[in-house]
Formats: sequence, C-alpha cells, structure tokens
Amino acid sequence: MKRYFVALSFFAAALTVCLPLRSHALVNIQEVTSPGGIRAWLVENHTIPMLSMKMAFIGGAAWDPDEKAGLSNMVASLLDEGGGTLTSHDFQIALEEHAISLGFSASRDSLHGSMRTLRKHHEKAFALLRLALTAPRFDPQPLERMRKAILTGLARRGESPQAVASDYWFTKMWGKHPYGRIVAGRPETVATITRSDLKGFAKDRLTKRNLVVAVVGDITAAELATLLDKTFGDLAEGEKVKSLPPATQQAESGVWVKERPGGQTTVVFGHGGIKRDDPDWYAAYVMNYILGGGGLTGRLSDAVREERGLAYSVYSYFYPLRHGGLFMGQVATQNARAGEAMAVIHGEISRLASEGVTEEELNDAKTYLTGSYPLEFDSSGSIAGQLLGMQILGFSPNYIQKRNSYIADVSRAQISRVAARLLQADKIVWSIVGKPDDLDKLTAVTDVPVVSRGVKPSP
Amino acid sequence: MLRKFFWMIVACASLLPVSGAFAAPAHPPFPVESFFLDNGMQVVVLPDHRAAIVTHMVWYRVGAADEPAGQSGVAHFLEHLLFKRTEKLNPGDFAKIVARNGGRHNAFTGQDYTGYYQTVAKDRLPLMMALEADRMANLRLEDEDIKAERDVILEERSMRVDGRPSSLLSEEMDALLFRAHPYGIPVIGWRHEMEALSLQDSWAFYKKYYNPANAILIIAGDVTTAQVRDLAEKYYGPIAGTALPKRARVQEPPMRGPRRVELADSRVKQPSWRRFYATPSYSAGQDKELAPALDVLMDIIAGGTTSRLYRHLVVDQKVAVSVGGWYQGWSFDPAKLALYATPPKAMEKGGEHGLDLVETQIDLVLNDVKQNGVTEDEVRRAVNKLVAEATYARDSIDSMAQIFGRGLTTGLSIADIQGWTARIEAVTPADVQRAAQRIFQPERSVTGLLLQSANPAMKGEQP
Repeated sequence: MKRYFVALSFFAAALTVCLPLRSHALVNIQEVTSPGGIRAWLVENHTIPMLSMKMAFIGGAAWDPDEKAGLSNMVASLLDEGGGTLTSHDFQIALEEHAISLGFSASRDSLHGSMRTLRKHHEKAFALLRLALTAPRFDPQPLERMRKAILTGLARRGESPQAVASDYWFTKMWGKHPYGRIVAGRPETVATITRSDLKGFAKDRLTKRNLVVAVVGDITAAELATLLDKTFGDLAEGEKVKSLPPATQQAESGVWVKERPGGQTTVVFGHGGIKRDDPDWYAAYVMNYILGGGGLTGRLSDAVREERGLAYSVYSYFYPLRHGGLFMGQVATQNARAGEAMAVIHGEISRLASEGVTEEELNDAKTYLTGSYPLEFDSSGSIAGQLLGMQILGFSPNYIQKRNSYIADVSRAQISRVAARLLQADKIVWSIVGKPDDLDKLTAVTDVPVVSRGVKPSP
Repeated sequence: MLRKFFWMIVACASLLPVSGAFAAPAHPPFPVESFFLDNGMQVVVLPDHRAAIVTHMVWYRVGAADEPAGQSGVAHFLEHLLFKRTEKLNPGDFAKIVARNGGRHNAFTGQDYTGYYQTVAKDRLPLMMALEADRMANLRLEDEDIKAERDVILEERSMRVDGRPSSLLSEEMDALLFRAHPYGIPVIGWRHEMEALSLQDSWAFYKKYYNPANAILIIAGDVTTAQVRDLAEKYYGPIAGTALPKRARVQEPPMRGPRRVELADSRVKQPSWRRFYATPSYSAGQDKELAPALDVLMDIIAGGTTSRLYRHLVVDQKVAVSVGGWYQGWSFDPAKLALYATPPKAMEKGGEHGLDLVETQIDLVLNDVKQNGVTEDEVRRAVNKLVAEATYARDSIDSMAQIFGRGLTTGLSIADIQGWTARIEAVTPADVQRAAQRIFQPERSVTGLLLQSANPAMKGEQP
C-alpha cells in the first residue's frame, strides 16, 4: 500500500482528477432534412478528402419469420451484389473503380449499412447505394453463391469455442424468443429462403420510416440534403417496425457443458439484464466497468488474471436490445481450473451485489469513463457510428454534451441498489465448451445443476 | 482488405481491440517530421488537429525473431511483464493510472517489433511519457509476477492457437516455410519453451533491447513537433542509449521443392486449403524490387469479389465459397504471401473434401497469370484502390502511427514510407507478370490442408 502512494506522488498528474474534454467541443452535429423529408445527422470535416456514412433500418434478424430465420442476414449479404442494370460483377467493379467501400450487415435489432468514399467519388458512391437499396437485383447466381457461403459459415461457427458457447448460451437464455436465434439463421431455414422472400424484405423492411442515417466528412449540409433525396427518395414510406414480445430469461440457473477436446474451457456466463432506456442504465454501466468492463483494471480481471493467472481475458458487459437486455461475460481457462475460475467470478459478482463498490473505485470509473469519451470520436467512421447509435436510441444531438454528466451523477448508493437489483450470482446460466475437470469448485459455492453432453454433430 | 490478417501475427497484452487493420501508407504530402534525441531515440510526429487527442507509441526494434534459441515467446512474455512493476509502480498501477486519465492503452508483439501505446486527451501526454520512460529504464521483475503471468500467456496460447485448428495449421506451415529463419517460430512461442521461460530470460532480453537507441517514439494527433521535442527530451532524454548492432538473423537456404502438410482434427467442421509462398519483403531478399508489384498482384488475384481467384473459383467453377490472400511485404527479412480457400459445405459428400479441386483451380489461375499476364485495367483498378487506402489511413491517428511504426521497425525509412504510393503507381502489367513468374513456383511453396478427423485432438496439443 505504501508503495502505491509513492507511485502516485511520483506521477503527480495521476493524482489530479481528469477533467474530461469539454464535450461540446467534440463535434458539431447538424440535423439535415432534405426537401423530400429524409433526415440525417451530419458532422462536416473538410480536413481529409473523404467521407464516411453509416445507416440502419430498424428491425433486424429478430423480425425474420422463424421459418425464414436468417433472411435479414441474407439480404445484407446480397445488397452489394447488383442493383438496377448493374449485375453483381458490374456493381463490384464500379465500387472498386472508385475505391468505394460499401457493406451491409444484419444484427438482431437492425440492418446496417456502411460506406466510405473519397470526396471526388462521393456522388458515384451515393448513386451505387441508391441502386443497392431501391433496386437490388437478387439474381439467382449470387443468391446461390451467398447461400452456400452462409451455410459453410454456419458450419465453421462450430470450430470456434467462443461462438459455440455463445450460441448455446443465447438459446438457453431466450429459448424460443427470436432473440435466442443466431442472426445468420439455421441451415434448414437458410435453405428455404427464396428470391421473392428477399424482394419482399427489400420492399417491406427497407423503408423511410425505419431509416437512420449519419454522415461525417468532406461534404456540406446542402450537398447532403440533395443526395439524401436522390439516394433514399425512392424507398417506400413504410410502417414503423412492430414491437416484439419482451424477451425474458427462460433457463433456470445451471451449468450447460458441451464437451470439446483440447486443453482449454471456454465459458459464457450471465443472466437477464436491462434495456438501454432503463433509469438505472448509467449506474449499471459504471458498476459493470468496476466489475468486468475495464480491460486489465476490473475486479474480474484482477481476481482471475492478475492474482491467479487463470485466463488471458475475462470480462462482462450489459447488452441492451430493443425488447430485452442481458448481463453477460466470458472467460477461457485451463480445463483443470475452469471450476475455480467460475467460482471466483461467482464470488466477485456476489460480493459486488452485497457490498457495492468503494469510493475510490467509483471515482476511478468516472474519471475513465468520462475522460475516454472523446476517444470515441477519433475517426470519421467512429464519429458516424456514434451519431447512428444516438439516433437509433432516439437521443437528441445534445446527448454528447450531457453524457458525461450522467456518468458523473452516479452515486455509490445508487450502485449498491442497482447491484442488488441486477446482479444475481445464483441465477447465472453458464454455457461451457471444453472439458472442465473441477466443476465441484463451482457447485461448492452455488447450488446449480450440471448438464453435460458430447459435441453435437455439425449442422 | 489485403492486409486484414496483419493482427493475426500480433499478440497483445490484453484483449482491448486494437483499432484499424493495417492500411497503406500515407500519400505525400502528409505532414510527418522526425528527429533523433542525443541518446539515439528516433522521434516521429504525425500532427492531426481534428480532435484534442494524441496517440503515444513506443516501438522497440526487437521482436520474436530476435529471441535467443530455446526461449521462444520471451519477447511477448516481456511485453506482458512491462505492465507489472517498476521501481515506482506495483502490478496494476500502470493500467490504473492510464485509466484514471481517460486513456486507452495496449501493447503488441510481432516478429520484428514490440510496441506499447496509449491514446489520451492531449494534456495527458506528459504523464504517458513519464510512465513509458519509467518502464523503459526501471522495470523490476519478481518471481511471483513471472509465475502468474506465464500462466496467462499459456492461456493466451490455448485461446489463440491450440483451441483453433486453423491457427495450428498456420503454425505448422510457417515452420515448414522457414526452416532456418526464426519466422518459422510462432510469436507467442512453442508451449514447451513458454513453460520454461524464467525471470533471468526476461531480464536479459529487457537489458539487451530496451533502451532509447533501440526505440522509436511516435506521436500522432493534436501536437506540434516543438511540443513533442521538448517533452521527449525531458522524459526520454535522460535515459542512456546504447546502440545495438544491426539485426542479423539466420537466413533461409534456398527451397528445393514443394512442401506439404495435412492436419486432421475432430474440431474441424469444414475442410480448408492454404498455401504460403516465400517472397522478398520491401526491405530484404533477392528481388526485393518486386515488392510493389506483389502488392498489386495480390490485389488483382485475391482482393475481394472482383479478383481473379474469386471470379474463377467461387463464381464460375463453384468449387469454393471463399478465397483470398495477403502479402506480408513489410517485414525486416524476406517473408511470405498467403492464399486460402474454403470449399462449399456440399462438396464433402461421399467422403470428398473438395480440396483437390480447389488446388487444381487455384493453380490454373496462377499459371494463367504467369503465362498471359494481367490487363492494364486490372492494374489501374488495383493501384487506385491501394492508393486510396493512403487517404483513408489518414482518418485515424492510430493507423497513421501504426504505419510509421511498422515501416520503421521493418527496415524502411520515412522516405520509403512516404514514397510507397509512388512506387505502387509505377507498377506495370509486365511487372506484375514478372512477379507472378518469379514467386509462384512450386519449390517456393508450402501447401496446407485442414481436414476433419474422428480423432479427438491432434498431436502437440496440451494434455
């Protein structure tokens, strides 16, 4: 302890409270509305002759019909495979000719698009984006090519212990709720998706009502307004995406083991969490930073990695979705000590739930979380990502100015209350891939059933 | 991305993501200034005033390929130990101080370099320099730290390599491609040697290589060269520098014939195919003037869905669902390029894994390029793409710092890095064909097959 004080006084600046950069200096957000009524957020920056755009359509893989699970993902994989009169090859060549990168992906809650272009080719880039969204071809050849790639990808997921443990955990946590499915779908559903399913998706789901757009870089508001109409004007107005039933934890606490050869056991753990609009969100966020959110600095990392050398990495986080929330984490450790690592994690979660956090931990968490916020704005792409996320959550642009005060306002008493509410060590669902030898170390501290089975043959 | 596998050869101290895969170097006139401190430390300043933040990096001109025989993994192990103790800090303090100051930080080890970085608000730069200079000069190692951290790197090896059959295959192929040169030894280390790494090994490596004359300081972000000069002199200037002799590693004898390896593992769900070719790098090797043409060649044959290999194997012949490749041109010694492909799931019916078809078709494409060359159009598109990467790279202070750090530790000068785009723009179709003819020769290759097996696990895995 003594040495610690010596250390801190040597690095005198470390003692001073970090004054976060004044947030309003970070970026200047303009809300652009086109003559046709399409809205986007813009941050102009003319230093580098390029721009980044990120966009989303609310409503992702969880909105796919169960028998067509994977539809959103397949659409995302095919939107850059031809549009208008351009076939897949022509479309890809056009992107390449102009060094434009354009890609789409699906998540549980939305379908995302991302584009990066040089200033000199930005009109071309938006023109190609228009074709991709308003006149996607879904030609049979690329469709079959992507179907094969997706099926192969689903098979290859089985090679990653992290993916297997995580997929297994989601099915345990959320059962039949669409959030419990893998975004890419199941082999049998991917096999049945047809061209008319894809066309139907483009017509019904790629709509103005569910569109969110963020642009950062070398373009003016007036230029963007014109391009918004040109690019998105032909999309259908559409209906606001319907709500899903709330997702809640389905499985009782338990240890679910999938055996896998090798020396290491991979564990995904957690239980139900909260949504982003929960009044306790910021307290939960700060609390989790102290528990397992800080890379090398959290309690879990101290106890599991630094003190015991049990793992290379261990972390936890709150995962909020539109219609449910999770608290989850991950660790990979040697088979012989997997149960020990799990018992340590269980112990740290219980301790936080019953004892809360110290004043010093809370102050450290606040200085990090507020001080590092400006680092989220370090490139056009990351700024566009921030802008998009805020719009999806329905925030206003001045969230950026307020955000650090939400963190700074979190108190120890709040964290104690929120920890007791949200952390329930004995409700944890543990999904395990490997061959743990010492699960008795875990069952000695928490009364949970252990269900073990061999590796399921690949789909 | 041509170079998206850059980070695969890099092992980090923690899992905090390192932002931005490696992209192409800057197009002049990107502002960069460089100078040396009296103790021999090189300083590079990359000003970018868009946000009030800086990235502070220290790169050492030492990596896994410089390790003593029998101590594989010590460079990376030492990287972890630098987060432990100094004369003034206890384990955990370093990370805590950076976090308290709102900083992101990490470290990484490659074959040719070891790097440490923090990204912070610009007023925190002096503190970061104080911390980094402290561990450059005043590291302390204690037995208890060695033991726990060795367990951590063994778990890291389990996670990154032993638990992933495809990583094990790459390790086998490197060992076959480089039979004399240390690039054949994994950065993370062989497990049996990692288990024996001692305090003495780590200390000797630290004392030999960690000094300012062997280090490069790179500051990217909202600073001026004058500010950096003052700070660098204050914090790093007082540390004594001892110049090291130029790195001279064991060199590879010529290869005499194609080499092959097959790995079968019950954890493999989908067979896959891979091939490495021995190549010159930008800095070393016979034919090193071919390096820019190799970058263009790899984009033409393996860069995305318009590439020769994708068009032929995935679109036309339908014998693969994915195919690609990368060229590791920024290496201190002659290195490699890689090609990879995965056949579709449906191909394995009836016991056929489809890899022979993949290989035949890939060879067909490579031979066609050797015999008939590539078109002006293809070269123009590839060059445009590579040169555009230079503009895109400027968008991130981290990637700019990465580019200069990687270039300078692999034998390039600042002028070489600045001149990269001009060399790419000068590549002709004839250069590309010549590069293909020179490199795509069976006797320069290692081919690897990853197969499914009923056996529980492959040899060499920990019990």
